[in-house]
Parts: sequence; structure tokens; C-alpha cells
Amino acid sequence: MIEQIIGFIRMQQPSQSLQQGGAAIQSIYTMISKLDSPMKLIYGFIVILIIVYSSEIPADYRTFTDSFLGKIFGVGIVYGVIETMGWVYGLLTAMAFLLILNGAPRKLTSSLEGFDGGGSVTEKKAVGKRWFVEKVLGERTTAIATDRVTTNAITD
Amino acid sequence: MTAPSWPSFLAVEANADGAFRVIIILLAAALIIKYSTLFEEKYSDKLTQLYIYPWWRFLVVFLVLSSILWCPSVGVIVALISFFYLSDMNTLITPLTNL
Repeated sequence: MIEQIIGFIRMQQPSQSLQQGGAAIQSIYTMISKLDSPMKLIYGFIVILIIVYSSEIPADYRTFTDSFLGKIFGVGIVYGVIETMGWVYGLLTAMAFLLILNGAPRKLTSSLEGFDGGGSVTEKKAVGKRWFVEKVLGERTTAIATDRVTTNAITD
Repeated sequence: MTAPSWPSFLAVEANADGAFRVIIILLAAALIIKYSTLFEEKYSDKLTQLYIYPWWRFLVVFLVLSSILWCPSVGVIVALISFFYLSDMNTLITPLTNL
């Protein structure tokens, strides 16, 4: 009985694998036939690359994106893509646009020194090795505002 | 004047697949609320370490794409989570002086 079953299974295997192979080819044909146009696919691939390598985009492009014109331009592109290519491409474009926008340098805050009191400070050149905290935070000191600390006694 | 209806492409069907989609959406929403309401909620070490590898970021984007193909509602919320993750990691590796 067992031998009969094994023989039956052996007989069934080639036809099943052929059917599975045919189904796989059929599904590949179906997938290819449902693919978007090459232009859309190329655009989608470029947008995916922008999302993946968004941290490598130069600061100049990010600064432009952060400007008034850049934001209008970006929102217009997202809207245009949604209207022409569909919301899937529009969603990816919006992600790419926001990632570029998010990484734009904030000039207003980066130009302010937290320890600069705004008074008359004698600027000194930075000499010697970089401090540990500068290495960790990736800072490159160009000048020192002051190297003296004035303390006062606590009074009631 | 009629009340605005839920967009049809974001609706889910009343079957097991629809229930599973709703569960995923609720889990994703809980994840977003967790990371957005708690101040400086830390990402796990593996998520932080994997970000520097491009293939990992490709997988994140393909997760968004596969979510979109499965269900638009899930796709939108997964895209939101992915954006927050990529954005935070991008900020993390940016030198402080360039922020």
C-alpha cells in the first residue's frame, strides 16, 4: 500500500512541478503586464535613490529647497506627480521632498553662539589640538570668544 | 450639505484581511504616538546602527512600497513612520555645526 502511495506521489510530482512552473511564469507575465510605463519606473527608481541617499545631498540644494521658492516648487512637483503619475509616486515624492527639506541647514540658529553675550569680546584664534567634545560633536572651532570665566560670590 | 465621506481608497473591507489591516494601522499609530509624545524617545540600537547601510534604507523604502501595494491606508501610515525614522537618523549623523 505504501509503495503504491509513493508511486502515486512520484507520478504526481512532475505534473505538479510543471503546473507550479506554469503558474510562476503566468504570474511573472501578469506582473510584467501590470507594470507601469518605463518612464514612471525610472522616475520611481530615481525617487527611491533620493530617499535612500538623502543624507548625501549637498547643502546648497537643501538650502534652495528650504527657501520660499524651493518650497513652492517642491509642493508643486508633489501635486503634479500625484495628478499625472498617481498617489503612490506622489507619496514617494513627498517623502523625498520632506527628507531634503528636513536636512536643510538652519542658518539662523547655527550662526548664533550660545556663550556669546553680545558685548565687546576679544576674539582669539583657536590653537592646539581639537577638544574631545569637538571631535565627538564634529565641530571645527575657528575662533574662541573668551577663555576667561568670571564668577561672583552667591549673595542673598 | 453632506458630510465629507471617508476616501474610498483608504477604506478596508469587513473580513479577516480588513481586520488584519486595521490591527496593523492601530499598531503603527501607537508607534507614532509613542515616539512623538515622549520627549527624546530613543530608537533601538539596531535601528540606529543599521541606518548607515544603504541596503537597509532600500529595505525601508521597499517596506513602504509593499505596504502601499497591500493596503493604501497601511502604506500611508508606514510611509509616515519611515519618514520620521529616516529624518531622525539623518539628523543624528549630521554634525552639530551643520544643523
